[in-house]
Amino acid sequence: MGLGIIALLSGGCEDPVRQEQLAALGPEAANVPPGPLHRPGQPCLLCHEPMGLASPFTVAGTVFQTLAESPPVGGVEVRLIDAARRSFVAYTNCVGSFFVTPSEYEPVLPLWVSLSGQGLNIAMESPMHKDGDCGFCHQSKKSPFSAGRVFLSEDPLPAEALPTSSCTGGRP
Amino acid sequence: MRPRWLLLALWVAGADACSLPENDAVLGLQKPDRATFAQVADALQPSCATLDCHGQRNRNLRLYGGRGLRLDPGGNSADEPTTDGEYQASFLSVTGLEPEALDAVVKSGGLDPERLALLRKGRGTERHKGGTQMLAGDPLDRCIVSWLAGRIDSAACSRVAGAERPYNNRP
Repeated sequence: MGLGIIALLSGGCEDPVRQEQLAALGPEAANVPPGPLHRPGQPCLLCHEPMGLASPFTVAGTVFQTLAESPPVGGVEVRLIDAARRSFVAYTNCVGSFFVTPSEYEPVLPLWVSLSGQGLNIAMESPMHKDGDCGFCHQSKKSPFSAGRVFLSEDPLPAEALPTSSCTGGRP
Repeated sequence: MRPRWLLLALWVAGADACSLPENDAVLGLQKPDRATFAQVADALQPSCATLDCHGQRNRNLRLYGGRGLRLDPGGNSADEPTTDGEYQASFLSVTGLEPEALDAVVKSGGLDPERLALLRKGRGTERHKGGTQMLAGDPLDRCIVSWLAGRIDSAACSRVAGAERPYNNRP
């Protein structure tokens, strides 16, 4: 009976909202194992949080070429500056994703973000307050609770103008 | 007491505990000014009403805005400014959290605003997942407190809404 009560209590402590969000992510894509290239565009920190299922990140996300249907873009400079005026620069990898670990940079929120690549600069209108999870607010489509994906350019770019990156991440 | 009577008594007690308060209980309670609330809502937008904070449907304090949660199912968080309907929905959310405490603060001309969780959590004096978002006397705090006192400090509200973006300086 004691075990039953413990099981009941631990079940009661699950956050149903978070469980719903995790379930909505779906399974891993075929042929893409968990790692730097998996799940581009998804809210990384749902799992990559300090108490999460995977190694923790402080900031992470995916950059796409444009707001509309377009591929992700690698080699983009992601400039971060926090409330303590401490800055950090990350670069997107070949699937457009970047991630920052606690040992690299632990921002004091709010955190402001801007992107640069191929002479283009774009800055986020409002800072991030809760954590550094870009994909939480920037889902694939605009909606009453999404600003749409993170993008580098308002207009489509010719392929030769796009920054590129190897699949290891880091500066192109 | 026989078991079925005990069950009936528990059901009645449970039903009572879950019932909504009578409308009369909130009638006559004073609220801050609705007409100037848009200035407060705009000041709350950058720090409190973003999609990762109170711009979420799961929050008790649910705030709507042009760059946060939208009221219109066809709207989105990237385009179009805050609508009147969204200001009204946020007003109801802010004023509906603790109506009795809010009534007391408003009737006292804004004295001791930390009677409200809105102030305690915003100032970080009560546990708040979003941390400390304002300090007593800073522009956001002055904006809210002055609104509660019935003498809104429009300059403070505008200063929050148009705050400097540090990312303009290249790291």
